[in-house]
Amino acid sequence: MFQRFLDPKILAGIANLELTAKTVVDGFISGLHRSPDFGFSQEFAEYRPYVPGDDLRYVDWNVFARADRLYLKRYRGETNTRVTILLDRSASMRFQSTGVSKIDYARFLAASLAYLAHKQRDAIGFIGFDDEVRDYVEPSSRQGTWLKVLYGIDHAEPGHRTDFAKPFFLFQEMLRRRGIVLVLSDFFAPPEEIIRTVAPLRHRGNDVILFHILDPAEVRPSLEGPRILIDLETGQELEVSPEYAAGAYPARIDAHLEAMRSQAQGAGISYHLLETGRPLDDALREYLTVRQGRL
Amino acid sequence: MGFLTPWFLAGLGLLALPVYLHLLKRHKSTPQHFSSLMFFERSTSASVRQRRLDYLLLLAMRLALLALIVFAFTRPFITSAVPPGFGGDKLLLLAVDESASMGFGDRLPRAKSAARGILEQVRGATRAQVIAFASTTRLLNEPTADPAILRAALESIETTGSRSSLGDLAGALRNLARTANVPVEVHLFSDLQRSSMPPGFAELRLEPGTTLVLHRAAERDEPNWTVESVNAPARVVDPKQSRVEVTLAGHNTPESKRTLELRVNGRAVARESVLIPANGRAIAAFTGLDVPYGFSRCEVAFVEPDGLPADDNYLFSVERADPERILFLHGPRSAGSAVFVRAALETAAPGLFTLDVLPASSAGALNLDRYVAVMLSDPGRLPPALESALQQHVERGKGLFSAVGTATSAVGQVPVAGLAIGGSQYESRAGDRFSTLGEADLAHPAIARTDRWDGVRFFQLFEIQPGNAAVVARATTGAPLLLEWRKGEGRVLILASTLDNDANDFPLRPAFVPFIEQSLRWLAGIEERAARLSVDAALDLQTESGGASVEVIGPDGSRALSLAESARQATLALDRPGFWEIRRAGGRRELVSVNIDRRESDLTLMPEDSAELWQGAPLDRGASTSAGAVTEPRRWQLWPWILAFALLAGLMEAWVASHHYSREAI
Repeated sequence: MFQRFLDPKILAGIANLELTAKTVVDGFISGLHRSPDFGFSQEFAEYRPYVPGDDLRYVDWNVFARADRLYLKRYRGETNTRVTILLDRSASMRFQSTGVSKIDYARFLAASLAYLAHKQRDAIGFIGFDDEVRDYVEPSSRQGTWLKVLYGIDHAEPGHRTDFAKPFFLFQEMLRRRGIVLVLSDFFAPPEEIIRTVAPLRHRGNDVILFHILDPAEVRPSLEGPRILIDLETGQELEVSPEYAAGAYPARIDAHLEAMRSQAQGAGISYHLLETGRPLDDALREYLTVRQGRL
Repeated sequence: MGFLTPWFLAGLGLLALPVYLHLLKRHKSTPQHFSSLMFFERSTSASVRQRRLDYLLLLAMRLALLALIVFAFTRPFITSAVPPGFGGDKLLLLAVDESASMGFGDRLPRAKSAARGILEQVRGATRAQVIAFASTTRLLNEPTADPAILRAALESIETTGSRSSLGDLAGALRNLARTANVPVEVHLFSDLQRSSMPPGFAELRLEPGTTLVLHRAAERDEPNWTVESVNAPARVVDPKQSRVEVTLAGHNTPESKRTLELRVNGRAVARESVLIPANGRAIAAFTGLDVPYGFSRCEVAFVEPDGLPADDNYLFSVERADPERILFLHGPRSAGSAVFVRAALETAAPGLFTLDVLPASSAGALNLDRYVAVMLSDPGRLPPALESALQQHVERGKGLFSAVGTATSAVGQVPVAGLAIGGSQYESRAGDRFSTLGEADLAHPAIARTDRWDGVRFFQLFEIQPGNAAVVARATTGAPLLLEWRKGEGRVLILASTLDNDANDFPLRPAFVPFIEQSLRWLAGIEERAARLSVDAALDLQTESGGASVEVIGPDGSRALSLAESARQATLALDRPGFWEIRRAGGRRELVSVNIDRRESDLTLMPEDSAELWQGAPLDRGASTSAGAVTEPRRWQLWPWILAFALLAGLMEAWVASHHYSREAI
């Protein structure tokens, strides 16, 4: 029954982003009981004999009481990572044709991912950008950081046009330690330019996941008559016929998506296309897959 | 160019409606925000320009449609001296009225003059044909472009005594148009009497592609008096007691006193002055008709003729003759039947027959040549000399009526005919058991007008074996009731019952009177024929015996039939007024008077709206006045063309609109 809470339209009715994130993640996890491959980092891994110099905090005193020997308890949770969420808050993210705009969908997804990482006691960071870096929260596993990240996501409003080059140059300076980088954007830029900009993050040892967020109307536009379209970022106007929207445009956007996918794969970057009409679990599953690979 | 109803031009204001609607609903591309235009191109707006072109075309079509409809309502016309396409390949029909009413004043000369004016305009591939019409339509020439032939045909038209029938003319025009294979233009020259119109206007319809132009030869309803009918005996026995009643009528006339004259064989014998009320009728009477023996040509006429002389007199023929003699022989118990027969003859045909009543037993030495027919009322056994004389009488072509009763039944056979009598069938009066007329040849003259012997009951019938006789009627029991036996030219009619009211109640019933009168007329060869007819009536030349050898002398004294025609022709159309003399086989003569149809006397014109409706356009009064008038400018209606263009614009508008909206729906 929690699956229905992954529907973006329902999530849009929840005002509190933290509650939204918890609803998504809890619902998602409840649906994973059949999958033993997924778990939390706090699960038990092994026992090993105590050797001098080990931290006494990890001694299992119950075993010592029964066996009169000192054993240390090892957990997988000790292998925490740094998760940084890069959220595109450019003006084009304001577009919506269904009940949820792209920026809202991205915020739900970002909050859910952040909550999921927080529950795993990963360090969480957040960067909001358009043509500049607008928000920055240093990755940390502290409770206060989680709240800062949540605040940053919650107040990420669409701003100006997207410029990947300038903010990503700064990211490389900020993301000095390896971790997982989640990029949430509509990627309205040439694919080679995007990959060229993102690839250095991967080269530094980060796992990069591109969440390509598009509205269904951007993939398959439907015009009932001639329309003057206004670009949300540039303000440019163009009169478009229904014939073109139904014929040439789908071919061009498909080519763009295919180029994104192939070039991301070529650069070792995970790429995932998300339409705002779809539930969030696909994105969470993608994240966990990548997270699992880092254990 | 002009407009018959120019105030409809105000409807052009409606043109603002589509302009307003198109401006109000003007096509605009709705602005819509989109995330990025990086995948769109400016060249995609080409189809929008196409739609705008469609849109302007649609507006133009709608404006044209409205404007054309408004123009059609204004009934525009152009004036032209020559009809459009007058010199093209088509058939020009000139129909000239030759009915009796065209004899009023100078109507026919004016009509012919107007027709000549039309003929002068014929040129190019147009062929023309001249038609004279009254009750029938006569094609006076084959379609030709030769003006000499056409003028000759036109000049040959004279007034007749026929009545005009526009319905018959329209039928003939339809037939001509169907076979013409080219457009037909009809110019009709007539006074267009209202009485010429058919009962239903639909009978005036013309074939599509036929253009009708009416040329009126009369301007108003002219006054006219007429001798409408004469009621006079066809056969005069006593001239002093004969009476002639004349009905006079006035059409569109004021009250006036008119003097009548009765003429017999061209000699005026009496005069009478009559006050005829305004637009009404009056009756005049002449007492005493002193005519010589034989047929007389009588006439009642106004002393002072009016504008239409053809209907100022009424012709009628009168025959003066002595009564035909009938010998009535009765048996010892049937003397009373003579009373019934005499009463019937005096009622049905007074003066036509005289009845000599004798007992059959004492009639042996009579000279039968004086009698046209003999009646036997249950005579019983006849003296041999009388029966022999009767047989000779019949063989000479004379008639015999024989009623069978108990006395004759006792002899066992019918006199003269010799048919066996088997006995008698008795019915009971008390039990209402009787027989009536069953199967009968109702066309037989003896029972044709007797209303099937309605109510006649036969209580006693004598069973006559038909032998070689024809059974004319049977009783409801199936027994022969009336038989016809022939020998040579002679005819014998046999009634299987009596002529008194002993064996039946026939003499007490109304059917008895016409039965006796018709039977004796038939037996005596006195056929009842109409002696007064109208022009164009058909004269029956057939005789009762089937022979058709008839000689007909027309009003001008010439023979109307050739020798071959007189032998085989069954009817003759009486095409002119006057006295027609018919000489039939056997030396019988008839004198038939023929008068013009009195419907021609009413000179009231066809209502103008009816004429316009028939013509499909307003009447051209100028064309009716003179030949030169036809060259005056005529109005040619344009609204049918404009409506056709409007229809075309409507269809194009529908097509463009469908195309336009189908593009928008993508």
